[in-house]
Amino acid sequence: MSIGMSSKQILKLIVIENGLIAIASMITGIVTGAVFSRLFFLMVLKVLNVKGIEFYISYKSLLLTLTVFTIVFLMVILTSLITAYKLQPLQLLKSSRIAQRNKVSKPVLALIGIAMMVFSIGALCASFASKAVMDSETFLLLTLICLAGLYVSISQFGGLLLKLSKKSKKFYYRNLTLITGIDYRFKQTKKIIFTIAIMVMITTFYCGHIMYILSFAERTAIDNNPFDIAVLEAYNENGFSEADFKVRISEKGVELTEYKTLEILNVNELYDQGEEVERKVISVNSLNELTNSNIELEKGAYIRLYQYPEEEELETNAYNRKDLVLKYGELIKSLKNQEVIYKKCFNIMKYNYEELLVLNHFDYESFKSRSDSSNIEKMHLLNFKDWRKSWTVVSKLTKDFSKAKETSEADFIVQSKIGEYTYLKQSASLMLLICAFLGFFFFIASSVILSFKLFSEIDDERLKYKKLSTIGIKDIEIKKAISKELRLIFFLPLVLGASLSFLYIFAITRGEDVNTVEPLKFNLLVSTIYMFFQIAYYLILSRTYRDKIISSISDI
Amino acid sequence: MNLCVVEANNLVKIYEGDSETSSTKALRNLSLKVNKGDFIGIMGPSGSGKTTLLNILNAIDKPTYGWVKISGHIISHMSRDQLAEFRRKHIGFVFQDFNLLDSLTLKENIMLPLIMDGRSAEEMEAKAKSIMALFNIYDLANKYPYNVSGGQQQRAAVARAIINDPDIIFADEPTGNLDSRSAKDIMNCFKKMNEERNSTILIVTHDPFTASYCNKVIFIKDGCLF
Repeated sequence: MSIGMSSKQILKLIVIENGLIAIASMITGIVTGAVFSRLFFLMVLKVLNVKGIEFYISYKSLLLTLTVFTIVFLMVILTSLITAYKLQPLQLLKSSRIAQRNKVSKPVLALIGIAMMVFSIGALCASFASKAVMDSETFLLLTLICLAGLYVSISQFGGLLLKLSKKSKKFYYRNLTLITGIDYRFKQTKKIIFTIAIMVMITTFYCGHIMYILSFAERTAIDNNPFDIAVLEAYNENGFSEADFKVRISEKGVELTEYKTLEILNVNELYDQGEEVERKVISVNSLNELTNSNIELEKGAYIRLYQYPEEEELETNAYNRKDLVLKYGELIKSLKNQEVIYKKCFNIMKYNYEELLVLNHFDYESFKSRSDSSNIEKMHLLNFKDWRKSWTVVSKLTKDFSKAKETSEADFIVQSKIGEYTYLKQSASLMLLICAFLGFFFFIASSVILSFKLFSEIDDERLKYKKLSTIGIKDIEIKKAISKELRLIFFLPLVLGASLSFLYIFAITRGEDVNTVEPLKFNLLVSTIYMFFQIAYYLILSRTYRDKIISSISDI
Repeated sequence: MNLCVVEANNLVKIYEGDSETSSTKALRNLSLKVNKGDFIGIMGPSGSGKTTLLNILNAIDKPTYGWVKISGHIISHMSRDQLAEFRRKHIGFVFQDFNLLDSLTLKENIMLPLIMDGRSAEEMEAKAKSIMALFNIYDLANKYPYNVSGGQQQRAAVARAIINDPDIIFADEPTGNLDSRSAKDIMNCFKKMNEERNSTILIVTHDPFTASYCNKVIFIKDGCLF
């Protein structure tokens, strides 16, 4: 502008420059992403020993990526154009000397930003602790408030530091170059620090959470499956006997220690409006045998059995204790509620057997006498010496029953501790692999962004320290000042991101009845691992950066 | 008898080129003595070696041969850190392009040598206040360099150069980037320093107007004084 370039020429320059960068980066990104996806896919298949899945890239995802990034680049071009048109040539010439200023610069905003973060985390804690169901909109809103607070705090941090440090002139003057340097740096790199903090937050949150699930896989499998293997048999006129099972499950090294059966009827509960809902019904005798208990139940009464922990809301719900009417065929019985039991007695078979009705044996037999194979189910419950070795038994049973299903109308469902454990472990391992992979890429991306920013502005720093060296700054003082500034920029986003993810895990686990320390431990573990990577990167980059600045001063 | 503040003895500076024939001898056996209270101007055309001389006297550069003594200390034998400390305590320097830090206010720029020296806040503030008042820039204390004129920036640079009561003040074309009025203001500042504070000042310039304020003018040509 200052030497006579017209606005149209400048516009053309901006559009062509940024356009070429946009096209080149999108093509490179998509090609590289596709290559890495393929490599990652092959790695996952190898690690998890999965076969029969083909790799493909969906055109929809490609289109979405191109659309989003085209919009981003268009916004960048638009911003450059507006800046070029808005500012006078003199302002543009001076812009490198003037520190980037915040549109609103009030240190008190940093405190407001912190308050926003505290509020959102506090609200999450309170909501989860009350065990009220939180809808996704509220969760998203609180998260957005937290992130907005984070950005405001980061952008105003330099100003706040300046204001607070000026309260002690001694402290301020002693650290003048550092504090003003930090204020300057934060204004220049606030967006990068914010982005890195979010990346760290996401990585540590998901990786920590998934590691916790992985560690919990065994306990979950044990809790959900009181018996090592449960086989549900339905529509099977012939039925399997204990002897049949023992033949099927005989495997070397797998010792059966317990075998029980449970018969279940499907009968209908009749409502006032004539509506009928199917219910699972068992006999109190079967329940006593299964659980080694001595429950007494009168004729004409029923027990409501919930196979999960007692919840206050359910306990006060009048529905639990109401009288009901059961019907099968032409037999209709009215029953009074005797009690409600919360206890896991047998495997819940993918949650279909969480709620059952227990009847007096006489009442039960009345319904059973009118039943046929269509509404009688039989559950075979097996325990082994070591459930971890029972995978071969599960595989064999599943295979046998698949064959049996082909030739009859019988239906079989097999649920096992080892099956659920393997499934949880595999899914969690896959998720962990994906999250770790993404986390690693986030780390690389944030490191690259940070180094580009630092080294693209290194000339300004060189100039600053050259000026200071003419006044009399020592090399050691330069190194200290640079190190302190870099340490803050490298580690503050990590601390912020890791702290927020820790607090999120803390908030989410408030409503849990289980151990709430374990998820936090895993979160800290992941943050620590990330910290080690960051320390290594800091040591390498800071040394190079310092050496480049000091050597340029030596060249005076 | 005046105390000798700066003594340069047989200074030679050779800038090596790609071959023997292309090396440049910027200074040729140059000797110089500056006494306490002197206000000396060194004049010479472009390429005469005056900036080279100034850089060597200020210990920003080292001579190929010869030595420089400032206040009895041979600076050519000092390490980088010793030189840095010596500069902050004994030397003031004023640059053509002011050399102020854009991230600091004028007051903070002025106090920098004292800050590096670890002086107390009260002492620094008192000194900065009196020097800013001397140069009529006290009202601009909290402004940043890019918000004030060239003349005001240079006055701040001069104030910075003298705040640590240096033994000598070097100035390299201090009026080079200024308009005539600002140049006059700056030279009046130097004159004031020399007359009221008995400051020893060595100015390198090619401008006769600037040199006219000096008590003594030395001419340099092709690396030699005459």
